[in-house]
Amino acid sequence: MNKKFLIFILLLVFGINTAGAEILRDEFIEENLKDKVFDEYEVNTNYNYESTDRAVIKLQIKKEITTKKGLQDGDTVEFIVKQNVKLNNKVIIKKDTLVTARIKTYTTRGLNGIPSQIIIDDFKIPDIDSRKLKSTYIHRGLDLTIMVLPIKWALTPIPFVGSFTNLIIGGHCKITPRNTILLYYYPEWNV
Amino acid sequence: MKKIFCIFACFVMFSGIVFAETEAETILNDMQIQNRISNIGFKLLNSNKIDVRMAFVYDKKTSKTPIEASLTRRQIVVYKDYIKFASDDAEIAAFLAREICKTAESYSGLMKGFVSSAQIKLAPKKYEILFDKRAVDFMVKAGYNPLALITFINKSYPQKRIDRFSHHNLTSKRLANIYEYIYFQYPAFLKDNEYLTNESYQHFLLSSIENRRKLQEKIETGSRENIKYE
Repeated sequence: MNKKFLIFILLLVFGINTAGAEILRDEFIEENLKDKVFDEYEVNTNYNYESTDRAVIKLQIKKEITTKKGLQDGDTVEFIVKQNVKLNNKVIIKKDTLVTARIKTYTTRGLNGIPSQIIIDDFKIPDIDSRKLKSTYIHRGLDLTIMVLPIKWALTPIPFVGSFTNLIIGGHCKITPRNTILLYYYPEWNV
Repeated sequence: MKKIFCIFACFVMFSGIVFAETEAETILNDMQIQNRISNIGFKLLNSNKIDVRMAFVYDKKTSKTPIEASLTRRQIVVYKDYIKFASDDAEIAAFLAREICKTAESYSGLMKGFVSSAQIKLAPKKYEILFDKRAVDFMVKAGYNPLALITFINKSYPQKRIDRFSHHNLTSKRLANIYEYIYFQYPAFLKDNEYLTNESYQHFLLSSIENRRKLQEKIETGSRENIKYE
């Protein structure tokens, strides 16, 4: 009797587990990612932001990017350092050093004069700990909302007319080599 | 008569103590929840080096949407209605990361962020996807698993019939966008997926088969077009 009961329990336990294993799969991921090895993602959980000493890094993009065409989240973009970066009279980053970063995401332009925007982060500068950088860069296109709102409010008393201002569309976002991008490097931050 | 009076006096005295204890317990419980929310919130801010001020407030009242406080007072209100869906710190972080992103956005742009705040109110649908994606980034930097954003949204947001004329995206569309973002930006979380045993995540997989097939097609063809999720 006891044996039968034991077998029944074992069958029940292993049966359930096997059934569970059937459910617990994401085949799509198994197919696409099984052989790939990934670097560890940057986690920043040990910090001490006491120090205020910093160096300003001025960058310019190598090749123009725009939300008009061909952007995708995660694309790599290249920058060059515009001038020598000094800290305590010592050059820590030389002019023309190549810097890479990633387009984290972007938004398209919209009604009511809303411009598109590009968010760039994960800047990698040779010999510089990226966790000591304050570096998220957001660039927006031509913002027409500031013009749309007063017109909309002024026209609101006339029925339906105010709503026509909704049709004003904001500008595309474009980062060209003429734009200067500022990053801040805090060498004393304990990260 | 004396006996009845004594019994009544005892009853009043002890019931007062019981009520006081219950109230004290409630306050202590609220303090613990508030403390947990604040710690997670500030961890997200510090990890992502977000250098603008914002406060995190736990509120037991109900509210449809916490958007007003985030944009105007830079105060992230965590209503009990939302937080009750969170089963761990990662899911609390998922909720907070989205709100942090929105609040940080209200600091940037023209007129000390007034214009940006107006834009978020004028086009919430556009910004909804942006905040979801940025929330993933914030969570990863703070050491949380970004798949918690999928499980949290899947548990807590309803599904409308259509979103063409709505101010908000279909929840299924948001979830598919988050999944795609994690796939391309942080695939290791999907490869070693801790959430495969999570019921909410499994149901997301079940309900997103069509959307995930579209993503698979995009990957196989190497397309750079944005997918139109349903």
